[in-house]
Amino acid sequence: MTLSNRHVLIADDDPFVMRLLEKFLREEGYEVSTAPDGRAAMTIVLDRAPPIIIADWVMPGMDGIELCKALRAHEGVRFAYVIMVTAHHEPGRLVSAFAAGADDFIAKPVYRQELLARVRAGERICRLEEDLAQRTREMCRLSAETTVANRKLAELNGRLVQMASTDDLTGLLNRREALKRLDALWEIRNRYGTTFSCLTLDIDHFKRINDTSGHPAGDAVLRQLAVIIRAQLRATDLACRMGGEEFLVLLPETTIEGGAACAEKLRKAIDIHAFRYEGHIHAVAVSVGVAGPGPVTASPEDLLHDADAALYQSKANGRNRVTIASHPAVTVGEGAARSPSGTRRPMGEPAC
Amino acid sequence: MPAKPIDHQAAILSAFAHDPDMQDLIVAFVNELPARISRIGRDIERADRQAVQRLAHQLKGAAGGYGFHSITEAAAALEARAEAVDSPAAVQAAFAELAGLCRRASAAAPGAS
Repeated sequence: MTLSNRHVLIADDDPFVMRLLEKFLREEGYEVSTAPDGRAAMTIVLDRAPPIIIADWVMPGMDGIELCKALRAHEGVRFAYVIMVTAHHEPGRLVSAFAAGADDFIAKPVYRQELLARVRAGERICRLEEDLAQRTREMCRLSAETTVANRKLAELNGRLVQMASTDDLTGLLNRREALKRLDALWEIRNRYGTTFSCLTLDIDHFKRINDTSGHPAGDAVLRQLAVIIRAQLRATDLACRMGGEEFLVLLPETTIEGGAACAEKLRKAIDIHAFRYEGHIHAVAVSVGVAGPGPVTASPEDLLHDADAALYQSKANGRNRVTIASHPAVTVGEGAARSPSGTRRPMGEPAC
Repeated sequence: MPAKPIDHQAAILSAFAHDPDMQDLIVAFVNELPARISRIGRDIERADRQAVQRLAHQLKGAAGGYGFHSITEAAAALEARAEAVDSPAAVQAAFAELAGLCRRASAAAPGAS
């Protein structure tokens, strides 16, 4: 539907008044529709949405005031500028016309110059209204687009945060996140005097799996191992993959003895599990180091170092076992008895 | 030039009679006046004051636009009489005044007898 901007609707029950107004307006190039009463006018409004409506006050059926009210209640299609025409001159009339929603008021007899001047004023208002409506629509559209974009951005950010803190292969926390959580546990311990323990796990002879069965088999083992670790842990424990075949488990509110028990449970679960990949079963075992913050532990790094040293001890003592860091380290689990002195391995030396 | 005596029978011309654009419209309006007057007369006989009021109101609104201010005023007077529920005589008198003016307007129109 194309809506003409120079379309004027006249509602008047007197055909001669109508004819006069129509002539004045047509001569100025306006498109004119006519209606003998308010109801007929409303039909034209709903159909053609003329921007300017000249309505007689007194009409049979629906009069000008009722038409005005109906228009204002039905401002769906487009703003209409309403000029109320009447032969009455009392100020009270004028007030009720404006109260009903009229924009202008013109007294009969209607003179050409006055009529055209008022219609032109109406056109100015219509243009402003149209402009405003256009801008409002534009703003609504932009606002809606922004809302959608923001929602997408929030989703994306959520995914990025997730990605930044998660290990792709296993879904466990990654090294960065692990160190952050370790720092946090350290701070909580310092502030509240609570304790926690940490386990470092390393798969024994992992290189062999990769070398003989290929990297996909190695990846499958890592994934299954992550599942086992998670299954063994409590909801508040944190499982992390530090890189390669090396894992870190953080156990809040857990003493080093509790940590050792947990480590042994994990070691056994892994030891008895049949790792399947493409029809092959791989026997996988882990060496574990257990450490907890003690009086001489100066930093989270120190603590990790202790756990790594204990892990190294497990490796040195024959693998597939758990060693508790102490000064010197105490080995438990499979080959518990032999515990050589010196818990700290030189920096940079591989743990397996 | 001596002043013309007021002639109550003289034809009334529209204030816009000099405007060639308005000619056709004025003629059509004036030619329709007798029908309006007879409708009002009929409604007065039937004592339908509301109809009288409405028709007088319409004529009041229309006549001025066609340049017949005296008709507008007379129609306004009749409308007021009918609205105030004045005596039939008062309504009748207002109507007679209006009808007289309308006849004089018609008399001036081309094609009017």
